[in-house]
Amino acid sequence: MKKIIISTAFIMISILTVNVLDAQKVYATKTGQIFFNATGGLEKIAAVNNQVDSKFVDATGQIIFGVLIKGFKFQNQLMEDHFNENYMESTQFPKADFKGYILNIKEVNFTKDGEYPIQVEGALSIHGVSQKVSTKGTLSLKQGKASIEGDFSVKIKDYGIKGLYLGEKIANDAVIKLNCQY
Amino acid sequence: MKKMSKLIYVLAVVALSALGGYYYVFVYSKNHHRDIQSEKWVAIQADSLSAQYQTDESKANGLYLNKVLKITGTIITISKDQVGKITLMIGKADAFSNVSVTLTQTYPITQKPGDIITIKGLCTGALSDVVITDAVIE
Repeated sequence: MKKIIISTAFIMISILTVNVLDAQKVYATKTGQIFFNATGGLEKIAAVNNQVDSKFVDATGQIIFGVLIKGFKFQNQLMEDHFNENYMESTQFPKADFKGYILNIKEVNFTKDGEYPIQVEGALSIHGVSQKVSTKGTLSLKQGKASIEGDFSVKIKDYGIKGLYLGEKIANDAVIKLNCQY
Repeated sequence: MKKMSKLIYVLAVVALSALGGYYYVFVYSKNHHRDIQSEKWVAIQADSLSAQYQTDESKANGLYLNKVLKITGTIITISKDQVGKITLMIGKADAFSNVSVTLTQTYPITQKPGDIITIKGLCTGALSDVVITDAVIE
């Protein structure tokens, strides 16, 4: 009798687990956009990267972003070279990533088009240093397609980035804008 | 008089240096970007490149990061990025990781998924796939 109860419970748990796994959807893109602006003086110090790799899970709100530093494009080639060599040291630290959760994912109705405010929290790793980040954004749904937009600022020195013009031509805080269409 | 002409000479050198510096930083560097297609390249198969990154990312970065690669492989998917540039996934459809390529062009390509293609572009590293940017079809 005991064996039957255990077996039945095991089967029921297995069915439930499969149903949960079936119910969740992973949204993914490899061509998201991230904008970076650290203008501190007259000269604009801004770049864009169009190869953001990102995924999020609708059931849990788990979200990740990954970006390659050498993929940032500046208008000015010299700025791009300095960004890679003197500040980000992108040969040593070739990527940056964010791993976290959309805290209020349950407030998003994935069956209904609309714009949903989201609160995201997680760890942002840049230049080999990881820091906790919390920010707001918008998750939009349109005909089954999802997109996420958001912006936040980071204190450049918090990530162990040093450089001659920090706090002068280069702002102490960089503004990061994200736009991912999944 | 001699002192005066020396001063004029020094001022002229300083002014010219400043002008040269300004031109290089704010004019030349804005209008002259890295010409990836004219750089020396390394030829490699797409599946070999992604396999090397899967095996030892640090070693692969040492060999390929920031280098121009001429990559040959089978097209798995053709798509567009958010700014309208053509993107390709090349490698093996059943592989865990492949090569994600962003072409410089926005107009459609003649090749189809399943075709073998050779592209030349800049390796910026690897995320879930090896990433190649500023690429053109060879």
